Amino acid sequence: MRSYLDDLISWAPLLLAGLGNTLLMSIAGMALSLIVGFAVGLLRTLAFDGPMRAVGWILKCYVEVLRGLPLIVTLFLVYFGLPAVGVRFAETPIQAGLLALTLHLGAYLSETFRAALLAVHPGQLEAALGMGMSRFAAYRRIVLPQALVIAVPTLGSWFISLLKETSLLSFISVGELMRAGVVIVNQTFKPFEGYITLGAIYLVLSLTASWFVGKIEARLTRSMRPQEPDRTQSQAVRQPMTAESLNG
Amino acid sequence: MAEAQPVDPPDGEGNRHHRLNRSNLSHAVPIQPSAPPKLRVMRLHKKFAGTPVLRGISFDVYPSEKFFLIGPSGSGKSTVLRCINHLVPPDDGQVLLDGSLVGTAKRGAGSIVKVSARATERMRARMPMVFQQFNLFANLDVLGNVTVSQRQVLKRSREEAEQIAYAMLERVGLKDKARAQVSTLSGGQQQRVGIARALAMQPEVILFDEPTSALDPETVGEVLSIMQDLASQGLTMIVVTHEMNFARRTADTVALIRDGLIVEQGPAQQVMDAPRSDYTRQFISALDTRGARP
Repeated sequence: MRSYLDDLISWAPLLLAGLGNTLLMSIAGMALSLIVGFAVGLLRTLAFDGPMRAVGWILKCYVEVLRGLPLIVTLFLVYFGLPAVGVRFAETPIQAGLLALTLHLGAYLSETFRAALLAVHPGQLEAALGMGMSRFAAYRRIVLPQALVIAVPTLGSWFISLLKETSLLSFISVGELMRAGVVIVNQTFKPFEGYITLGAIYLVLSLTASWFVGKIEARLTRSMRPQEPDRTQSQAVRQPMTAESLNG
Repeated sequence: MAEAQPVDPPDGEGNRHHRLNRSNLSHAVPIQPSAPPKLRVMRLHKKFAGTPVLRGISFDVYPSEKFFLIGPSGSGKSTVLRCINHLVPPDDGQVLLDGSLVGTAKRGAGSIVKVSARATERMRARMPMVFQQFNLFANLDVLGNVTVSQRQVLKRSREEAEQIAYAMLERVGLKDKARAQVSTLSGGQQQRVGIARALAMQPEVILFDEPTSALDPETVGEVLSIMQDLASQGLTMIVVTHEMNFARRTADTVALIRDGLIVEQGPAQQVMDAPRSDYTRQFISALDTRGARP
């Protein structure tokens, strides 16, 4: 046991560096994928007729193709394939990794957003338009806020999944957690202790992310939930979001 | 059906006469038959997936008039309302609000008078709708529901919008619920918020689409009594309803729609109590015996 603690201390710098890169790739990858997924999902929801139909069709092709490829294939295509045919857009492992993650996850997230938009009751859009709101205002003020609340649990699942999928980036020499673990095991010949440590770190990451997603979800859905009747009646003035409602 | 001139008088010219010698003076603000029509609905046609739903609906609504559309389910009543504000663009025919075209006008495959999306939105804001399923905005509280379109469409400041919202909520008896979440309200309360939301736009016409059909029987009365108040205050209303007694009490004009056509139209008392067509008599007596409400 003592020797394991000593090992842990000596592995710490490498593991911490790996952890940093895993977090960086996960958070940056998620942020970019959210942008791509949101844009693609929204456009596909709106572009079902008229001149936008071609755009909708192209985006559908993107989603179907990227969802049909294993992430590792997308990763190798971007990192090894593109430079080989002269496309020098994302050359460093981190750039290529982020691009591949974004293309891959963006396709999945667009479907999450599209499903959430379709899940908002059509009467909500009809009422907004019926009051004279523009389509833009109706989506911004009424439809999108509701769709977001519907999407958050699924988006959270994708983020937790992404935390672990970034391990594939070790194949293109991004110095993230998995790569740190492999290096450690190769140097020390202690696969059991090494990989158990790695697994424990991933587990803690996932559980933390899960807790965090739960918090966001609770915060977003609060406005859609019934409140205590006696509280609502006396609230004549807009109440700021308070710590009390988060802790309670 | 294929006339070339852009504006035709709708049929039903005889309607004007009954207004001049009405005996029913229960309304504080009488309708103004001498004024030009507030709303002209002209030869609306609409097909859904090849099935004709409206086959030439025309009528005029005068300032302060309570115009009631009745008829069996699926007869096209709700579609008429949605064609009036172009939530559902008609295939043919036009709607004029104060003489101005609502939405882009199509006349078959022929000439088209184009109206911008902005102009159509402004028209909708002048004749907001109250929905059968309430359709209150689920992401906003009661006050938010009554202010959001004032802010977005009429560009009112938050203070002004909230002031008007509180006044309208008071009118429907829900001022103390301003900060309540929509989901905590009963159906009747939700529909009253729906009415306050429409009133806050300071509308020229309100379109009511079966406002009590989704309500529990015990809450129907509270919604009808508010509509009655609005009627007596001189608001111009177009109401689709199955509440025959309410129509009898409140309507100036009743039109019965069947299979996308107006079968009979006239002063409420005449249509409700001495209908000309057999179908109207059957329809009204069937609804009367089914559920007599106060």
